[in-house]
Amino acid sequence: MTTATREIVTLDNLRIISRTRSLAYGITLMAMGALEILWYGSTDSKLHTTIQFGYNTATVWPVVSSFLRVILLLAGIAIIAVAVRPRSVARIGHIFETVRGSRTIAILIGAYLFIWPVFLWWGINLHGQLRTMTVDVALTGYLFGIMSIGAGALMAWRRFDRSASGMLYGGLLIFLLGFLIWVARGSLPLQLTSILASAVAVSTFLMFGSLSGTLCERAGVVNIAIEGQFMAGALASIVFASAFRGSGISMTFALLLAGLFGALFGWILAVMALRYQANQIIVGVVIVAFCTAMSQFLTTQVLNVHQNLDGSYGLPVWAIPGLSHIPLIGPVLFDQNVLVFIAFAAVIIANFALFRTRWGLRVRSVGEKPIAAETVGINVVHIRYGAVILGGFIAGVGGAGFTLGPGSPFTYGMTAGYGYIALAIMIFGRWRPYGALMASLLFGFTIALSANLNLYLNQLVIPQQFITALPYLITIAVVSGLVGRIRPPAADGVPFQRH
Amino acid sequence: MTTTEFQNPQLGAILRFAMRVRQANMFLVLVLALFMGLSFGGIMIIVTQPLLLTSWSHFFSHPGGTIASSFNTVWFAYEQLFQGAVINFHALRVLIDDPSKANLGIVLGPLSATLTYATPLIVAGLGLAIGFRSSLFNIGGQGQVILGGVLALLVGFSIHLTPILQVPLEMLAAIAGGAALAGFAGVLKAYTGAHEVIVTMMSNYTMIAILGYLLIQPLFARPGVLDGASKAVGVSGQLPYLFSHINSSLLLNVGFVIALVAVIAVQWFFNRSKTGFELLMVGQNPDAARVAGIFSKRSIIICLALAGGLLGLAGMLELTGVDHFVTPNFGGSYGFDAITVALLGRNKPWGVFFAAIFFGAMFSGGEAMQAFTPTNIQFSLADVIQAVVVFCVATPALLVEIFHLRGGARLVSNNNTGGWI
Repeated sequence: MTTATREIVTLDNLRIISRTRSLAYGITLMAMGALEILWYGSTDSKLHTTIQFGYNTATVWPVVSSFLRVILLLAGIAIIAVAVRPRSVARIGHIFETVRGSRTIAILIGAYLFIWPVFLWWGINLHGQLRTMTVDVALTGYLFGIMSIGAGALMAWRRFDRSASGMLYGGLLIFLLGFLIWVARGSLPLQLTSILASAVAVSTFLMFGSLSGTLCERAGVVNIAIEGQFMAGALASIVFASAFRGSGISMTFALLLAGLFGALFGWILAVMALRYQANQIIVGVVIVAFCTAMSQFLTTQVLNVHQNLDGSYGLPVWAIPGLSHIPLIGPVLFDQNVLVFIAFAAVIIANFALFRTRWGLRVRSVGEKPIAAETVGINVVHIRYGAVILGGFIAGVGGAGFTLGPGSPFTYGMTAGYGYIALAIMIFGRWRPYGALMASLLFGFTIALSANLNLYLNQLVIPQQFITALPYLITIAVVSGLVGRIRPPAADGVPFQRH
Repeated sequence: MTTTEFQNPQLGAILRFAMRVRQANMFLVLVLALFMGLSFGGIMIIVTQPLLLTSWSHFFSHPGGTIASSFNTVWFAYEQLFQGAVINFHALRVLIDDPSKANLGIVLGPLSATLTYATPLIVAGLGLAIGFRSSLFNIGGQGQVILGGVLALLVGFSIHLTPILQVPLEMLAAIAGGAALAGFAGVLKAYTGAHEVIVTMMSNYTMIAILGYLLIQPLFARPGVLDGASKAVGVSGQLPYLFSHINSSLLLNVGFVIALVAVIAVQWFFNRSKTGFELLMVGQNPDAARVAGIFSKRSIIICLALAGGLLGLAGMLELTGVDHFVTPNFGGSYGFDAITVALLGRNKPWGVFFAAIFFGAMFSGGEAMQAFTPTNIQFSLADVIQAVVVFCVATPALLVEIFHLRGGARLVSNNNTGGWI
């Protein structure tokens, strides 16, 4: 829009970061490392933190005998070795060079296989019950600090174009982990798995919301009404589920109904924005105002009187056999309610649909240059209608995550501005489904963090409210371009007139 | 339809008048929007009243009775809404019958409450209207209201001067706070391209967190009370009441006069001042403005700072005029109400003025409706009516389509949102 320097952004130079930027990233990382050393490292060396890995008694950790450990360790090293130097292995190596992303996944799996045997040797696996691990707070601080400083120095020295922002976020995550360990020093154990699991649960509706925003904005329509669609979905789903006393099939239909209500408001936005070419932000704000007023009225007038319509019915929790027993990741990712799995599936499907199908190409072209799309015979208005209504549907299903997800009744104001945060997450994730997924997890983590810090209030030096404000401050830093370059779809929010 | 058909003598005067009436203009849109809002609210009342719903099940045996009872319920609710918002007819009749028993407090109380509630909304709506007219969407009203209120509170309880000095000092502090917060968003927008919607929205949540932090600090917290309320503004820092010498329940304060002055000042700013003209130009066509030599970065910052200053002032008016202290949900709905007020007022200063008064009326009327209707029709019905009215006014295309208004294309605003960044 009105940015002064407008440069041509292609797929190639989108990945390349400038010299000064990489220097700034490196300095930021080194500053974080220095802070970690000075802050966490200066703790009394006698203090330890006990990290709890299990929170759910249903999750029994598999007993891994010493023989198997060696196999796991060797397998991990082998996978990493192959992934790092693909050319050295004749037949398998080329897979990593041709299939995108396979290398990253291989490195992750290899590191995971490598790390766990080491952890097991540390003796945290007692009779198959992997429970706690005690770490030295000051030592962890030094370790994390040195890691961050090293990574920062590397980045300042050699520009890591593709993995620059990834390293920055990784540094941020390590900083937060160090903070957690520091906060829980001494007294109460740190319930790491529980915090991470609640982070994933919290990020469910953020995923749906940011996915909805991504879909709409890729098609060139600003959907600021996500908050309203959340409310509509949350209210509709819980009323429907309560009316049928939460029977299994009614939950499915409740989810569908939530989506349909979201789609209804998406349709209203689409009609206003596409047929009448009204200002999309104004329409979105008014839709939110309407949904807020309606949800408050229906809550006070109907639900408070007929409380059987506002029950607590939660979606079933699925613990996927086998996968849910994986240390740390298992309970966090594979022992959640159904909506979490739907959210992950939706992200994968949306990514495939947007970047691998004809429809996705059309959606993106309509959002980038609608006139060009029209010239080659694409019906711009139809594609935009479809994307906005589908986006509304997704946001509505996400709204069900407020009520059916944790199984709590609808209360007025329960969406608490998450619809707007979802928009920020969409920008954070660079209008990409996987980016939205990662950003949602990061936001979910900080939200869960500030909710779980009540336990350690007496250990906390900085006020809890500042942790609450952290995701918002990060967002401001992100949108102001401090962390990576941001380029929205070119025709985002611009009404289209048929020629 | 051409004009010759209008001149057809066989078309009666009434029909010609009907044709005239269907010419779209803003007044007609407002009337129709109010009609739509009240109709929707009426349907909502009927749908949510169990007794009425049972009467609708006998619709085919007693259609008249069903319709009459529904209509009566809705009419009674709206009667209470009106009486609670504008003037109490029963008290007025008592006053006319026997002036010696006059209780002006009951007669004019609703009007006073309406205007009192509207006062901060007028100023906040003006702030947002300034942004909207330059195509800047300042969603951070709440944060700026909070910062303005907190700074005014700081001045209010720490200094004790005469009111004539202290109230302007509080105003200055509040305006400076709001302007700084919004101006920060403006600087980011101008120099890094960060979209002001996201930045101001995030500043809202940040300010809420900071407010929560401040209220538990010894500097702000009220000693001995753990309900999260702050210390109160000193007596000399409170806005004096205008009519409390007539009746103690008339709580309209000087803030209303300040709001009026602000309306006139903003009117002057847009119609007469150079900067105001520049802002309008940047808002309507940034490229043309740049060609004409207007420094758009500077005008973005000025515009957002002005808007933020007005929102901070709104926070100060709310603080010193009504409650005199700050709670954790201070400024709760002002940010978003002010957006809708600005939309309803079509971003014109006097439009915002009347829109805010409409909102105030719905607020105080809604409370009366909840209190006096037999089934306690909830207060938030007023919000629903309000939202529908704003929806219809903000997107007149809908009304033009539904009522087949003529020449509606003029009304349909076609301003670009522009992208995010």
